[in-house]
Amino acid sequence: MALKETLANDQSKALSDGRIAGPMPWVIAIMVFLTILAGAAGIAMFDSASQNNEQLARKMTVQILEEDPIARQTQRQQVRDYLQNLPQVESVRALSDEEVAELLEPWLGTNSNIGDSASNLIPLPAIIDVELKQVANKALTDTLLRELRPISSSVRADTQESWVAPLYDVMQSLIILILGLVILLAAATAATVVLAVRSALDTHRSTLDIMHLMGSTDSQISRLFQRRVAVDAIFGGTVGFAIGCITIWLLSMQISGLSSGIVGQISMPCYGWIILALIPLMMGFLSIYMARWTVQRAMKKIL
Amino acid sequence: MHAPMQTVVDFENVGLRYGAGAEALTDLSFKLFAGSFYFLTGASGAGKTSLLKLLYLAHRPSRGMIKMFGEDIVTMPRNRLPGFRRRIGVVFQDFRLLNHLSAFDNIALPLRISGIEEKDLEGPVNELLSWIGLADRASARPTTLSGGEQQRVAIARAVIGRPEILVADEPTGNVDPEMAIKLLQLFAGLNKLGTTVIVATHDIHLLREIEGAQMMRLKDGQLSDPTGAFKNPATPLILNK
Ligand SMILES: Nc1ncnc2c1ncn2[C@@H]1O[C@H](COP(=O)(O)OP(=O)(O)O)[C@@H](O)[C@H]1O
Ligand SMILES: [Mg+2]
Repeated sequence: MALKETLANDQSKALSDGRIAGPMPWVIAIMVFLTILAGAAGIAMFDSASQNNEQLARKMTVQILEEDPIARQTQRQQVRDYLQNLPQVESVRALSDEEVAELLEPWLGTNSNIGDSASNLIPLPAIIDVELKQVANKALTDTLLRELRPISSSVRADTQESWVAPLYDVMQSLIILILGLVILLAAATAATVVLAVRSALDTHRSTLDIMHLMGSTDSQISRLFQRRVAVDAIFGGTVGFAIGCITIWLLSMQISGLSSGIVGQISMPCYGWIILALIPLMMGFLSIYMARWTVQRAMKKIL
Repeated sequence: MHAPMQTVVDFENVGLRYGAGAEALTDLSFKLFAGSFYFLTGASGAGKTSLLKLLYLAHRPSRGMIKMFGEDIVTMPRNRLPGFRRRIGVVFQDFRLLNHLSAFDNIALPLRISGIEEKDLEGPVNELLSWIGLADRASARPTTLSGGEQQRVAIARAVIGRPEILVADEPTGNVDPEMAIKLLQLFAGLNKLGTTVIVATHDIHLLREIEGAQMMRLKDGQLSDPTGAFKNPATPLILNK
């Protein structure tokens, strides 16, 4: 109330009612709420995508598909040593047979006779995790494979990219979609303000005509409306922001309860909250700007 | 004591057409001088209101040249017009008071538009309220005022900013003859302080009430001015019939 008093100075007494039109603050609240939800989803996705991408892109997995366990062990040793000494390689870690068995357990089950001897139906591969100094690409893996071929004829190399890439393509599409959604929400807010201000212009037509003939400038008249829209935007922005933040907080509690997978890694980074806090501000400025634009355009039609 | 007569309004071959119809005003050429008092007469529909609208910058003419305060207002960019409008006070035929504002706020409106501080406008507004005899009705809404009281508020609003030109459209239209004369005297008082006054009326009896007033007669959108007397402000033009 005090804020409203401060905003409405004496000149603005010229317009009879405090607000532009009944539902305006609520429409702004809903728009801010939806934009915050969309924005939060976009930021969280962008954040996890860019973080994981950076790490994963430098990883490579080398497999040796050798049936004979003794030969496999020797080759694993040799390949590891060879890789370790390459300048492009940051670190190398050879997984033990137990680790490999554990890794493959979800697919192969806990059959105790896997991998133990040459008589096994399904031999375990040797797996070596390699972290490169640069992003792994096809040319690099091809070169490495060619050099490793003399040591082990059955060596294979996979970059993480090959399976993560489609996932990130989806994420990228979603992020673009969300950006589009945010732009549409902003456009809808702008349109709402334009319509509300136009109807307010009609309501106050005779008052504005008189003020105009007494020498009010277009900016003086548009300021009357800007003040009112500002009051509505502050109210709507605050409500929308509060409800949006509570929703995100509740959601993030639920998500952090999930233990595994990409979804479990999604979280709202610090800079994300700052961007979210900017949303009601931007919506407010957009509303005020649209009010100004609408009034001034209408005023230009009269002399 | 008076400086040489200054031209405040200068019309040359002015025409005004509403939409695609015939011209409501045709070939108007005249000058108005600072500190003079003018009556604008003519039958209903003759074009009085249209001419006043050109004077208070509500319309641009369809053709011709209009200079006010020495500047061509026809080609003037829009953003300079508010400054000129603040130098012109208008009493509208139908008052056009703002019904949601008190008498005080209605009268204060031009000062607030000009950016006068609140503490600086209270004195003048209250003074004017007493002068029009409405000191005790300062907080009354226009709808609770009588026709005559509303008219006085409208006039007070027109004069509060000490305009250089005062334009009044049939200001005595809805009041009894006694009040009409009182209002005219109010205009005369303002005129003595230097304001150029233009009063549109179809009541020719009023004309004899102001000594030294000049007359412009409109007929079918044209000035019928056989004598050309009003062009010479030194000659008072009082109707003697
Ligand atoms: N806004 C308007 N649109 C079209 N015609 C108008 C408008 N205002 C006035 N007129 C016409 O212009 C002529 C002069 O009108 P007006 O200036 O109001 O005369 P007066 O004030 O002397 O009665 C009339 O014929 C009237 O019908
Ligand atoms: Mg008229």
